[in-house]
Amino acid sequence: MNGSSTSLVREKLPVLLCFVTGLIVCAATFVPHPAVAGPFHTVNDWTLIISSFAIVLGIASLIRRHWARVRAQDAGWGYSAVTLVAMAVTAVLGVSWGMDPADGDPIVWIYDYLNKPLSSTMFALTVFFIASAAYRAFRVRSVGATVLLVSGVVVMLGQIPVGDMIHASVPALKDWVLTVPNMAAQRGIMLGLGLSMFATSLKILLGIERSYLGKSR
Amino acid sequence: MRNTSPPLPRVGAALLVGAVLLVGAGCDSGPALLDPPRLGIDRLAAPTDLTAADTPGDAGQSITLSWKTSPTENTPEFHLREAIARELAASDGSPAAEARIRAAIRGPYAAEPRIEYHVFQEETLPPPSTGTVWRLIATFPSGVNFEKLSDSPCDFRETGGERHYFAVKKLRDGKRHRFRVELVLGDQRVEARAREPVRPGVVEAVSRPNWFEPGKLPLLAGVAVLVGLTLFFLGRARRNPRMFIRKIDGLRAVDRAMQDAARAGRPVYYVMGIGAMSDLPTIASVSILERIARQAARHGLRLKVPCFDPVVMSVAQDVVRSAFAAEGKAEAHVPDDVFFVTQDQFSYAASVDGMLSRDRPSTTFLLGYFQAESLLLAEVGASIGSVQIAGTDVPAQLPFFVTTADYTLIGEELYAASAYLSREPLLLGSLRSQDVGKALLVGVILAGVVLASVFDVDWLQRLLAQ
Repeated sequence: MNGSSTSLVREKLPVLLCFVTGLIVCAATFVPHPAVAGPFHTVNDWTLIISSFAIVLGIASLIRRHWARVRAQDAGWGYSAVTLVAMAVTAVLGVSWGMDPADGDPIVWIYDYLNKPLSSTMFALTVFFIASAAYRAFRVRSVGATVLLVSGVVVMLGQIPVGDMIHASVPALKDWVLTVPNMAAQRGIMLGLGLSMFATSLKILLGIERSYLGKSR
Repeated sequence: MRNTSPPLPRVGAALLVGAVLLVGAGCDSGPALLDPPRLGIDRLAAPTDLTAADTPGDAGQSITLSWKTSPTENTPEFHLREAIARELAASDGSPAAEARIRAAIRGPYAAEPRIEYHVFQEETLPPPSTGTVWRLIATFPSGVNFEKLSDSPCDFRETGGERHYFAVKKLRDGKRHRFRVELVLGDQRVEARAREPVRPGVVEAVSRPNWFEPGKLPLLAGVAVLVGLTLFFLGRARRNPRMFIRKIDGLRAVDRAMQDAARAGRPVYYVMGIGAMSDLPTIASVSILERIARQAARHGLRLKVPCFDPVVMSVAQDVVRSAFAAEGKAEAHVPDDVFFVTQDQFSYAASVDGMLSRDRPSTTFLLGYFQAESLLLAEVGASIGSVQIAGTDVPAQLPFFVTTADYTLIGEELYAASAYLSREPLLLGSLRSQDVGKALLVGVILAGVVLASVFDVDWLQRLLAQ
């Protein structure tokens, strides 16, 4: 393959594809006619199909990486061994017995009694991390941190009955903090985000931003 | 569908029913203390101005019927009857409750059926039969608000005017379809009068797909203005590449963080969160990854990218490989440093946390789409002393990054990062268009506030709400 055909396949074709599919998706927002809606649904279907195939790449990457670590007995290779064994066992049980919750298949047991509790444990850790992050954030080092501390205390107190017992205006103050300054800041962020997303989409559509292809301009 | 009668009859009817029920509640047995006067509807008034037309701004296969509400729907009798029916519907459904309501409102109308609309469609009989029949395609109580029933072949549309709307769906495009509507109360039934009848009381229309949705005109106008602005500033950036862009601390820190990592001889982690390749924050993150990978190649650093999504992994592998090659360091690139982890949110967080704890990277980038795992990742990064540059466009996760990371790219800064790091004039030009767009938006918001607050004019508000 010579230079110009390489450039065509690796640069121009992806940009052209991106432009055409992007245009179809944009047009489908305004044009309900099946002549546009049909290709739009096709593009969506292709996205799903490509995602399904990509999972094979993901599994291959996982096996290659962990197998290399086990073979080289790198530091922490035991974790990789556990990953590979768990993946193999889950796959074999799933393929052999199926995944019907009504039948009490082994993979459902794994999901209910291993995966779900482990995920819940990770999520539960968030509370401790919030405490340590809040401790750092609430240390009064600057005007900003002080404002954060005061508003945080007001919101927390306003959420619980003790706030009302301290003073009747605490819940109202909490509502004000949430609905006025907090909402104003959030909407400001959202407006800026909307414009940025629009500009980014346009840059990608026009091929100005193509670093996602691994190529700068 | 919406009843548009004046509120007074409704209020009166509600008060009457309330009083009747209160009295009824006090006498579970024995006769009711109040016998409401007989308010039977003797004669149904025909709905008028029935029309049929292709439903505008849709993909076809739909015709919307519309007619003026029947005068019967605006009488006190109607509202009393409807209020009673509502009381019955809102009761717990037990026979005792129903008996109590019926006993309390003893009257001939309490047992009568509700006023209903019946919609009919003309159908051609299948061969060998000939001729047509009218098929009842929908029945619904009058004067009741309906939500859209998307799974139904027929669809009720809420309206603020004095008309009822009813969309018939799953029709064959390009064919004439005929309809009629009746108002029904028990044995009484009266046909709606058509505006342009093909036969008395019968209307017809042809459904067809439309090329534009009129309700989206304001959105299209907004998009056109923003596209124009962006193209204008891109053109200007091409002519005048030197453009002032405000400093973003998080991005100015990238160079220093990479140099620190090079001095420490420790790897750099780049985490893109749990977004798919179709999510814009992930696309923005991939664009930044290319710049970071180039710097990593320049400084001889290992760049590790644990991925949540296999498609993102595939793209990231290509981006990092190309970036190392562009810096003339293709041999330093380790393909397996961009790898798939898992598609389970908390398993991903646990796995990356483990890697961060073991590898103790000097610098960690958390840029992309994050949810509840944001704090789990950033807090572990902070605990190992890694310099963290984080950014996402999910407002709910920003406080976690602000409190935990050393630098945070807030919302739009994530999208500006690629342009900022590359300093390419065209990309910087788009940043200027965003700033002008923001100024325009602020102007529109202020104009809306002044119009609504000072002049009591709300057309701008309604226009933007579309």
